[in-house]
Amino acid sequence: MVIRAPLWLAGAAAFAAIAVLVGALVGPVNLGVGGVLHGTFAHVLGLHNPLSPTNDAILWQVRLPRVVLGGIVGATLALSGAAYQGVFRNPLADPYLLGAAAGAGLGATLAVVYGPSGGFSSDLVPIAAFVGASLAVVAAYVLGRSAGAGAGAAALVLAGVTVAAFLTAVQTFVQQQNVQTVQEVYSWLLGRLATSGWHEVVIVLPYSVFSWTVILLHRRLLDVLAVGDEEAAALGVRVARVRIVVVVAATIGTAAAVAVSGLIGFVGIIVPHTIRLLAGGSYRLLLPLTILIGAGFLVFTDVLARTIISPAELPIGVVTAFFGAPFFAIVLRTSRRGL
Amino acid sequence: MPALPALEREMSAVAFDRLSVSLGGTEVLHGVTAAVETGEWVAVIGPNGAGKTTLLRTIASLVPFAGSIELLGDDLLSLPHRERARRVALVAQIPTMPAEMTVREYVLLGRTPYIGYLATERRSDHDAAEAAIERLELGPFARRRLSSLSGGERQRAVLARALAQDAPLLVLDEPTSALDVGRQQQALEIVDELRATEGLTVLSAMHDLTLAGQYAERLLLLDRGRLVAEGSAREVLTRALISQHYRAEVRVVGDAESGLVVVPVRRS
Repeated sequence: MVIRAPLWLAGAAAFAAIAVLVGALVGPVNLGVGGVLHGTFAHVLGLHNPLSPTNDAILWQVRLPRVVLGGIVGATLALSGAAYQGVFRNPLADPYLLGAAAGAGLGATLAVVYGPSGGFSSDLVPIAAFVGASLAVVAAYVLGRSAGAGAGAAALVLAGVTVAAFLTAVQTFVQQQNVQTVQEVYSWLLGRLATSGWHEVVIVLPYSVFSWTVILLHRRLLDVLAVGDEEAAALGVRVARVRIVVVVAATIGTAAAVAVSGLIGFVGIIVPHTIRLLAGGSYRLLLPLTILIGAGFLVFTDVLARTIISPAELPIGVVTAFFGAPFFAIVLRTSRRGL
Repeated sequence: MPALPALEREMSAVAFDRLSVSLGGTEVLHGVTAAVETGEWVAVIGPNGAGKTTLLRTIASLVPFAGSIELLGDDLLSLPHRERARRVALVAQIPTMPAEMTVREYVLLGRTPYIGYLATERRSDHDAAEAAIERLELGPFARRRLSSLSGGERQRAVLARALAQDAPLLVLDEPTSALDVGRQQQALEIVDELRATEGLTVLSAMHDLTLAGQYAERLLLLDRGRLVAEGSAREVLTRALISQHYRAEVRVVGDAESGLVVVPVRRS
């Protein structure tokens, strides 16, 4: 196993790199592989650029930001999913487990409905989504803790489900009362990688890097948690503390990702579980792989979303759901075999 | 060899002083005062619900308690969590064994108390885990997944992990409840051997009175949260005490070969 880890990492890195290349290549204007590679290096190093100014703009202002955003969001959602699965020891845990999705959705809906008109394209929606996601998770945490210190992970999960259900109900109500704005929110809810230059990437990057760093630092501890809260505590681990740190880091990353790209589901489930099936469940290897493969996965998914009904675009959440639903079935089958 | 802090006076491996535990409003342990001396094997016996498991869990700091517990002379609550885990290794009644984990990874978990919060294992940790694996004769299985092991092999893996913890006190919660008579013996023999060679102190909660009498030097009889009897097998495993506290009809037979045997007598 130890010998194979570097191989897996190299493979995953290659996967991510190819995804980025394909993402940069696919589009109405054919830039060509050479054009893309040469143009990128030239742009970055300030050398003579073979691409025309228009093509360079397409590559650097339209395609690469979108691809990079897809990579960051995919990596963050996948890693958060893996982290939640580790901390709750629940194979179906995903970054939205504690209500982050419902909170973000409600925040976005409120921003669209009650924000200044034309507020959809402003920065209000992302902020409202981020705040909504964070508050929802805090609410789930407080509710879960009120079940008593001994209740542990299960109480938190139930609290998350409760909070999510409540917030979704409120959101639906608000939408019902304001049917005219529903369409705007709806497309946001389904998730999309819409970029205006590098703006969104710059917004999400610090939160994602923070999230990745904290979660990666806790790889070993997540492996220890596999034996359960009690045994881990008997081994000297401060389980509640580790849980809260990892949950906060995963939630911050998720909230930021949701703020810029809407609710893209299933990434946090599909990617970690596929890796588990292939490379094993040890978090030490799983987490770095999840970042790379999550990035590549969402970039490829976005390519599909852009091209299947070209020139129109499918919301990316639809594509991930389309792959996600049958995948859930596969995971459940393997779970029965002893996960 | 586990490192015992060097102190002038004789100190117990673990000492309880008026230990009380309340769970969900019910008092589960009431004023238990007892000690386990270094190198002893003490078995905690008693009917279901007497508080045996709770007593063991207080040592591993898994439940809040009133009164005091001293581990190797130091107040339990004054010790940092990792230090507690360096002094006592708890083997749960039904250990969680992640199916996909290998034996080596699982035994290595025993080194957790020695590894810094965000640090990783060092050479010494890998060596300690290897030593434990060899000691429990798990060498050929080191790379195998836990799910592929037999019951007896898994039991040895659990003991190997506890051994890798290098703790002078080994606490076993019902180590033999789910095992057949052969595996029961194997498990207890290994523990007794480790006790001799590694200088461990053992505190075990036990269901089976005969086995408790055979392996433990001293017995603590708990009933409804109170310590009602304490002493050697001969002193505690008496028909009177057992019928009073277990509400069972038994005969206690003395046998030169097998020590005291507690025989259930069927009421006709």
